[in-house]
Amino acid sequence: MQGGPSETIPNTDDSPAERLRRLEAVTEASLAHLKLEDLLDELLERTRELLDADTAAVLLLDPSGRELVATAAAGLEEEVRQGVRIPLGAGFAGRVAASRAPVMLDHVDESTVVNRILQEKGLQSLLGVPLIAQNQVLGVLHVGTTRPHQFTAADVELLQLVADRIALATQGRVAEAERSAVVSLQRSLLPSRPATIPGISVAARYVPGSGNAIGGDWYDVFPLPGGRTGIVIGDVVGRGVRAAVVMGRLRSALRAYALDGGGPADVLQRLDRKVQHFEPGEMATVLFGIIDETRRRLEVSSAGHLPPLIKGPDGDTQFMEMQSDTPIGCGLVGTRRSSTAELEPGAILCFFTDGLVERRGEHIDDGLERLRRSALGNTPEEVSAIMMLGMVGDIVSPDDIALVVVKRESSRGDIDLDLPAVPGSLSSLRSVMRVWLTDNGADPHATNDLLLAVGEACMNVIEHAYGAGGGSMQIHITIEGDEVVACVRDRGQWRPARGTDRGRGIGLMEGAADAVHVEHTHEGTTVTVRRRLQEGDVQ
Amino acid sequence: VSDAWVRAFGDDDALRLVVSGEIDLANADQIENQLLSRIPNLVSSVVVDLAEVTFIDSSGVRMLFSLVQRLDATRTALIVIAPHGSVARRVLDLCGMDKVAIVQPAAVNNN
Repeated sequence: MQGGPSETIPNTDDSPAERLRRLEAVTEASLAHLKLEDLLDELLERTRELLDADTAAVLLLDPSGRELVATAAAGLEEEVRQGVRIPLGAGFAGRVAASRAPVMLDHVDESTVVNRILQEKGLQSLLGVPLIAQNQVLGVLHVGTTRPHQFTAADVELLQLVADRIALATQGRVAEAERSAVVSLQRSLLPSRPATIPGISVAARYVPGSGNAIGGDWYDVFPLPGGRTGIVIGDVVGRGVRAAVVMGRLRSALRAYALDGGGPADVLQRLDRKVQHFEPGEMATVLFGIIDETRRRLEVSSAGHLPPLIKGPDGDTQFMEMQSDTPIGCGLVGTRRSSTAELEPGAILCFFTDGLVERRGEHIDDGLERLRRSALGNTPEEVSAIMMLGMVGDIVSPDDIALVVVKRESSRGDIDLDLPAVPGSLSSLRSVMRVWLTDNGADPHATNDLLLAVGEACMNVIEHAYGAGGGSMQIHITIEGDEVVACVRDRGQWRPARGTDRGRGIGLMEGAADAVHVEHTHEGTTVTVRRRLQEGDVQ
Repeated sequence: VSDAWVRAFGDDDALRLVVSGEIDLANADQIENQLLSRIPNLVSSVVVDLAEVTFIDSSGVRMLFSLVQRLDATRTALIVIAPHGSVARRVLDLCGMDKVAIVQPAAVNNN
């Protein structure tokens, strides 16, 4: 690289040879290898010398587009160190940016500049040009002299050339920085491995759109109290960091509202109200579904989003028949509705964003039909891979693509669990039991009675079997004829019940089950509970 | 996570505390505290509505018995709402809750 200062040439020399030399000084190919900061410093230094100026500075428009921020300077370094900010339209630099044209100043005072540093430096004459790339003002480049000086047309031309070069380099860097910021934000917000939920398997895909079109899509799968499961897919209108940030807010707000209870329509209603109040102007389409505690029923509400695709265990694949309500944040008020679908054990649900099905020049119905036919495979991972292959292939989509595939696994075989003997294990056990019992034909009465009886048996282990060191409990549940047989085993020694009310658990267990058998050995205790799958309450 | 929550309706004359969700060993104490914190000194009776409870076991029953004792000390009556066929009703019937508190299938306007 050819470095070092060039020799000083009087800037009055407008000969073709001199013009060429000056041009080469700022367009040299080797400069392209410099990092942006170094490039700016080098260009400013060369510009200052070529124009025989005392100062040279670059101010860039901040993301709000309302203020210029001093970014690099030669002979005026304090401007950068003090973080000088100039409102668009005000003072010298502000006028250059607002007018998008070169501005020359032959005297510097409060009436012409807002930046006190320029006055304190004793600058007399200033020349500024806008940094423009793709018709957008990115900032301002200006040079100054501490003596009265008349800049020539050639000076303006040269400075504009430098400005164009800086604009290109800056734009490239800003775009790259924004893209990498959005991608890392997305990555931090989207679960790479969705939460592990017993009986639910999940696979997901997220592909950022080309260029800067990334940031708005998200998916989420989360457990809800009482054994329910939430599934979300959404698409924030807009792009870039801003859309990604809004997406992050919507994602956590939706989770919070879902935790408060209520159906998907209620949750979206609350989300909509929040966005209209706190984020006016933002808009998103969202599809939110809740699988109930027996995993037999899916309830979905749509805020302007495409419906889910449901593939039955027999392979029959259909879009869920449902009505869509207005997008979140669009300002139209109305009652949100939800639709329900029966979920067979083994059913697969696909929630997706329009980037997956929309192709330029193709009707969306054709895209949806292609998606329906591409729902092949038996696991969420297989379905996702085949769908992405069939729908995307090697196309670079201009839009984000998000896809989440959820399978409601069928309960095969017996329940065989080894859980820590702590109160926190009880609700997980109930979630597993509810699904398993329903899949195996237990009626609601039998299900509730078995939850109670097995729960009491476990509570005895938790409260009486182990000392402070704790222990574990093994739960085995199977079907024998028309009966459910549940065994709860521990390896501890039961202490006598403590407290006055403590005998009640055994009574409840005996009341809820058809038969209870307790076997104490020196190796531990086994409680066996039997209850018919059908028929109402045990008398 | 066992999750249940308490909402309060009405005023000192007709206070109704609605419990929703699941009550077990993991959260019975919390629910009891939530109920107690919503019962002001001036009330003469409290309605605890268990119609929306999706699971309750002996620790939930223990909590209700303890609530009865606490309220008894201040001469406050406890009325438990548990509709026929509900999860809570089955458990309350099995453990004789009706012997210590008034168990009703639905809220009755006492005024």
